[in-house]
Amino acid sequence: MTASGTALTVTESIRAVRGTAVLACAFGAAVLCFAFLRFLLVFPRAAVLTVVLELPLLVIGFVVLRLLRPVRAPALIWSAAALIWGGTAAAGCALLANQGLVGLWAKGTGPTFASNWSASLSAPLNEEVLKLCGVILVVLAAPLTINGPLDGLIYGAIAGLGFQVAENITYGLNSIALAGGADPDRAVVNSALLRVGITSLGSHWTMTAIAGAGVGFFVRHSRSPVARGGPVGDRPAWRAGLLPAAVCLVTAMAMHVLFDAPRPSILIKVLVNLVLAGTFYLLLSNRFIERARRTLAAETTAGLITAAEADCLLSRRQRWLSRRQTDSQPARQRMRARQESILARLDLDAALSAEACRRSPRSLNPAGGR
Amino acid sequence: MAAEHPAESAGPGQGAPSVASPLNRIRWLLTVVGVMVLLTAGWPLLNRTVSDSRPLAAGRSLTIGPGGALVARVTVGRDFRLLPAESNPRQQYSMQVGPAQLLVSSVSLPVPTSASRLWAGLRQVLSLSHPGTTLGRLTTMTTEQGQQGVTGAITSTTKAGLAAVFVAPAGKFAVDIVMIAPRAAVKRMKAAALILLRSVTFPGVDPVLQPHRGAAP
Repeated sequence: MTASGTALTVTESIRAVRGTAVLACAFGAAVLCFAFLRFLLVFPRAAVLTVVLELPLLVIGFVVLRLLRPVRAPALIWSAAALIWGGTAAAGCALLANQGLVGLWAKGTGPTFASNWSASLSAPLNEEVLKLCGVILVVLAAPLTINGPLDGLIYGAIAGLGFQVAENITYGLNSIALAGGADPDRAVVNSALLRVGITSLGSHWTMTAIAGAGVGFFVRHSRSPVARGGPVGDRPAWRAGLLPAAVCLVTAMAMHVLFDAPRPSILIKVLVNLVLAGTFYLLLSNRFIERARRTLAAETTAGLITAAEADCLLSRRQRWLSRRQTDSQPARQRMRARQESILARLDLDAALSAEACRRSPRSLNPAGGR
Repeated sequence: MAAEHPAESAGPGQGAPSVASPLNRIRWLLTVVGVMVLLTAGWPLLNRTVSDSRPLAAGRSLTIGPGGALVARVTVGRDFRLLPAESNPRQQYSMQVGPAQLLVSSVSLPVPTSASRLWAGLRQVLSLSHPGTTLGRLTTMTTEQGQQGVTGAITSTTKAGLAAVFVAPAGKFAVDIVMIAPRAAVKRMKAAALILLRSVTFPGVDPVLQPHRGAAP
């Protein structure tokens, strides 16, 4: 409710979510700066080197993860928001939360047990939840951006990547002190070689991808035709979405427990996480493309789009080639707008449950055809 | 105010998926914020309520280091207390002796490094953890087992203490020891710290190499 007592509008509620997310990111960034800024003053070259060494992972990871979404990439602004969330809000809050929980483990079980297990008993709980909060905030701040598990997986992976980069930087900086401050450049290079070169393939992005897919399942269930009124509108649909979301979060936590556990070897841990996330991605991706093909076929039958359009729509390259074949720039722009409009309908379709997908394709097009 | 997204303005019967109502969106936002606050503030607050100090029996040995040959052993004197939340046998022991804070840190060295170089590194590391402190000139010292190391005074406006560096004979592992206490108590505390300093050994090292054949200061 607003101060005057009138009902809160959609725009106001979205603005509240976005403002809160910005504040959380600023808080997380402040926590990280407070904890690590002195490294920049005392070891300036090594501190800059630590950040520079993470840039390839950040840039390549961001580009590749966005390209992983079939048909078209997720919105750049919300992808960047998820990345920033992971690297600031989630990482900063996790630093404080982990210090508290690791301290409790050490006090309760002693330093020897805690040195082996406190990380794997603390980080999965704190970090997976904090990273996932970013995906949930994207759902709330940008309606229809995350429409199903595949979107959740991609946004989760991007949030995890942001966290991973921030964590790698903190590990790099800490490695300077662990090496006695004698050779800071070598210390950060060694840390980056391990964390970018080896563990990055199966680290945070894989875990949050799985957890994020759970948010996508939840969103899809809550938006099914029986769940009118939003994510908490209809109790049965809302509850039906909780189970897959919880299973995905617990799976992500289990992957994290394994990753931080003293055994097995790091290569096995990386491989397990990579295979789990990769398999899940392939399953969701194939289902998404199958559904998109069905929808396009139905739209073609209904005369909403041409067969030629349907043939090229699901491939970025084919869409680009079809635009290149047009004569003029305005025609290309019109074609691009039309392709985007049809793809947006496909995304809306993905937002519906399988039951909704069996409805008439015309119902997906409130604007009324061509 | 108009809805920002077409699907939000579409009614249930129009085929578009429903999204969160404003009130539901705020409820979810409050839930997310609540969970974040619970984790970020809850664990640290709970941690503060539990005492972080365990007495150590005089003569107790503590092993520090990543393992294998890369370990060192120190023996504590009377009235030493361990701070478990800030201790990790692989990396660091944080202890208290009266008003003094005592840190024993393991240093993994990718290449053999001299104690004098580590002393310069310790000066910078100290300025990270204890801004305003300065590390004095180093002097050599020998432990009870004949292990050579370097030591020197720590000073700041309100505190003082001593630091020491011992490099394992192969030169790929070392321990830094730092004791800092209020200036008024530093003389008394130095005696306690020296007990620990003189006890340093590297049990993982080949006995033929130990002592006296380590990297020169």
